Amino acid sequence: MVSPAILRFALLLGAAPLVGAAALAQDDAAKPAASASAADDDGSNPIDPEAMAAVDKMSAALQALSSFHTQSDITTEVVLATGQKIQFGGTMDTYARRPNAFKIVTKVDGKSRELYYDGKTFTIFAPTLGYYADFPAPGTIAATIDKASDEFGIEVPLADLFTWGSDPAIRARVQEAMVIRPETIGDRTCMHYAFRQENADWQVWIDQGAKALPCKIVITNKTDPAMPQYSAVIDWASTAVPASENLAFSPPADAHRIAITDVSEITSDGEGQ
Amino acid sequence: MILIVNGGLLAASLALSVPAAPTDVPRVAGEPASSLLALDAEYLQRTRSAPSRSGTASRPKGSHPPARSGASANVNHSNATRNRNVNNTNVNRNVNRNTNVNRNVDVNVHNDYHGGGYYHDDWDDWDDHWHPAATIATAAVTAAVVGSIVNSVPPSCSTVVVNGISYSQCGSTWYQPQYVGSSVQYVVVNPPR
Repeated sequence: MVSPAILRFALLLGAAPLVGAAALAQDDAAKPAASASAADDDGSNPIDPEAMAAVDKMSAALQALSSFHTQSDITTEVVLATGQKIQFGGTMDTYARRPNAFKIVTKVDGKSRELYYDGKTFTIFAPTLGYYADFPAPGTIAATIDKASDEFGIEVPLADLFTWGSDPAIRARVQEAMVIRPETIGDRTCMHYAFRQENADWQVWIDQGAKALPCKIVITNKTDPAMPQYSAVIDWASTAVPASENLAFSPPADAHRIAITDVSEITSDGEGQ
Repeated sequence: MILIVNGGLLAASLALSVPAAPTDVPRVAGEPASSLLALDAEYLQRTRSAPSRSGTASRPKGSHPPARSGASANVNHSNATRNRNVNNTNVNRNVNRNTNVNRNVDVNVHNDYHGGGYYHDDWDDWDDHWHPAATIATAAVTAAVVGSIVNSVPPSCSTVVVNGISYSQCGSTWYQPQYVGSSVQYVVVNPPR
């Protein structure tokens, strides 16, 4: 027969590990999810230097192009209030001439837009609606992309093609980086890499041929729990835009110029008030 | 069908009719015409623990639930990656907006969750006026409140330039189109003279 005293002792012994486990579990739960990622469980560097080196090489290849023309097949997603994701497909033509000109034509089902920058003026045009609007632009592509986003709420698609390699702060945003494997995109062999940043996970496939240009980019927006994705398969149709090619906007005869709203005061924390 | 204007006021007068043009109901900026109904449906769903049918029951045929966000077309050049608006995430804000008479019109109603600036905030504002409800009876707006904003106007409206300013005229209602982000929105204005 076991004495009540011994029983109590045994219970205490048994209970202690349970309390310990509960405390540990609580500690785990308190940790931010980011630090519990697989990459640093074994103490290894979550940023694979090989992946970063590949992006650096790609960035240098992009920066080395004084002009380029890409044709991309894109998919993009809208998240409904219900959390359901709706996908749309389309094409995008990007013409760029550094340091101060681009023409971007997106044809997405239901919504097509053309963006122009000629060194002085940024113009957005909706060909189906026949309306265009413009604002005075700074002297470089990078500054114009910033102004379009910050002051007018216009996101220049795949602006990363212009900005990768231009600013160390952009590189420093990467929190995790890994090499996946070589994959085939069309007739190209492209190495697949995956990266994590605070608000976006992204993947890039980099051409293993002579020029380390991106074959494909996928961007996962983490600011919405539904995590909508943007995908672009990029064809470097010609890596140069002929000097004769005019990238400036000239409005069609039936187009109308309308106003554009400065959203900078609305979108920051004031929220329109 | 309920039309929400100016952040929650009902449109001045709605008349049920067999439509001459079925798309005669302009959709309010940032607030597709179904949003009140969709919210009601959400509420019902919660309180009844009904299976997930997300508003389809009470939403008029052919309208869509409102969008709350979209994909970002940039790794580094979007509002999301710049950490703007991230702390504002609150899907319920639309409810307050609908009841606030003095609230200005919703240029950023879908900014709450937004990763992609304005790129896809108003997913209902399709350029080509394509609409699945092309054959059903719907409500026609007989008057619109000046200052209210819609995402699209019927294809029958015509662009008229008065004193160098472009307007879209739809019968007796005049709109002034403007870009908000990459979307074109239409503000109801007094007829120009």
